[in-house]
Amino acid sequence: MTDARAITRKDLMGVFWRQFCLQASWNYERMQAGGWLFIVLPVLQKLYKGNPEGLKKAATRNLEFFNTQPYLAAPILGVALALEERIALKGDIGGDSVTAIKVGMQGPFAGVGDSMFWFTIRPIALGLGISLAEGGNILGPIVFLLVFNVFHLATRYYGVTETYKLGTGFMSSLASGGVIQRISEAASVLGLTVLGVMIAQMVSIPFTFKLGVGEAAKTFVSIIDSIIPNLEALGLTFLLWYMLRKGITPVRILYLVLAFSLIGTFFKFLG
Amino acid sequence: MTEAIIITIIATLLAWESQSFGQFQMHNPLVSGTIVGLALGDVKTAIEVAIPLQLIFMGAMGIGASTPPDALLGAILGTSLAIKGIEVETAIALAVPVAFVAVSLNTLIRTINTFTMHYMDRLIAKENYKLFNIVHLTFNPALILIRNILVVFPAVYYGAEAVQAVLDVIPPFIISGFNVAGKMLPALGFGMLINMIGIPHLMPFLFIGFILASYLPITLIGVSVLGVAFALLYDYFATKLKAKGGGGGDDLSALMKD
Repeated sequence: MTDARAITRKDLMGVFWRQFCLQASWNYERMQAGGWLFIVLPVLQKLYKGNPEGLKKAATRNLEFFNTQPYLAAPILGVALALEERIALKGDIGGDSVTAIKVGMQGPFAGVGDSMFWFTIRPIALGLGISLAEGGNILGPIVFLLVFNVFHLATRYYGVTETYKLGTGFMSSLASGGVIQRISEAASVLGLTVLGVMIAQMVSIPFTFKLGVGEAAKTFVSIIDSIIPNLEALGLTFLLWYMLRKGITPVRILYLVLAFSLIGTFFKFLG
Repeated sequence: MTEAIIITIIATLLAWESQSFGQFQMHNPLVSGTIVGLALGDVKTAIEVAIPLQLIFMGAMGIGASTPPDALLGAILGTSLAIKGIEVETAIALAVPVAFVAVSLNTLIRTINTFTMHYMDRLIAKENYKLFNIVHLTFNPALILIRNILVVFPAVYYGAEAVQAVLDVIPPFIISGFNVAGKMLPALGFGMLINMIGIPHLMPFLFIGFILASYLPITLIGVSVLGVAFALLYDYFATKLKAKGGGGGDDLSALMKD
């Protein structure tokens, strides 16, 4: 497109920087809606230069409900901007197509983002950071931030620039190929494997009591370890997971664990 | 006094970072605790408190519309109180409930934001785009600042001494009880993670990881590399299976017939 109002690389960089403020006015009613409009507003103002009515209409439709994993808003922004540009310059598609693409993409992309970032990259990066930080080493938090944010920034940067370039064609191929679900599942495989390691290394129930009499008495923990090491950690995790599934809130489970620990130390079977 | 002001400022800047500007994950206890440690000149103690808190809040995240426990607030108070002299275990035991109680304050803030949203609607209707930008960027951060002045400042200012006075009358089994809870609570975070991943047929991978770590002296990096290999293999076979259009039982049932 040769129109002076067309979106340039500079405009896309503006979108890249503004997207860090996506959640600044997060609310229960329309969630990231205010952030979405904040991000695309300068581009809309350029596209509708000298057309205040068109700008107002575009701004209003970009203030509708929106919510996704914050980093994965980037590819949705790229596609939506490609559409907005076409609406403003050619006018051969309706404004409701932007809404449709946002509604269609926010759910699956939230799923991909959650499994990639919250279930996989963050736990792994934190695991690395924690093991380095042991003993008070400041390298721990630094490594965590570096590892996590390489993925974070790459997603936000290429998310906006690449999907804008590829426009809508890319997205429909993504959705039809079931690629979104494939990425989710593959990321979850990695996430669960690492989670298994962390359960073994970071959870424990410090039982103190012994079974048997006199010289033959063995601590309960050593008996567990002779079956499968850390089995009690795995059992506890599954018990708490089961309680969560039954709809017991995390706060209540927290209090239950606290109560159990206090009873345990009072009667001296934990310590 | 100065310390309480510094901690309140740090807590506010980090809360802004995690909610309004950035989301580089600096609110995680591992990072926020260390920053408090740097400010108060005792990184070692700060990290000692931050690591268990990090494990407890590993699975705490805002998925969709949920408001997660405020790990940042807990970490800030826990580390600063520990540096100001209370026992590490006690600091952790105080930080965890703070993080959960703070949820109600954050829910209130996000409810107030709903009214801001309606105000922003009116601004767009009046074509006042400049004010729209300002409102979007400042209203929620202002509420966070108010929250911290009301919560963080007094907690740090009166904290250590008030806490110590209470501590002197607490029987020792309570302190060690909190210590024990700290060893068990990471399971809650991990349980929340498993719950949210929610793909039952992938659970065997959790057992593989668990058994590897329980029997072998393997590091997290080693397992991560293995996990990537598993993920690629899984994707390859899952895609292949789908392309065939049938279930995995086909070959087997064909064999059974012979």
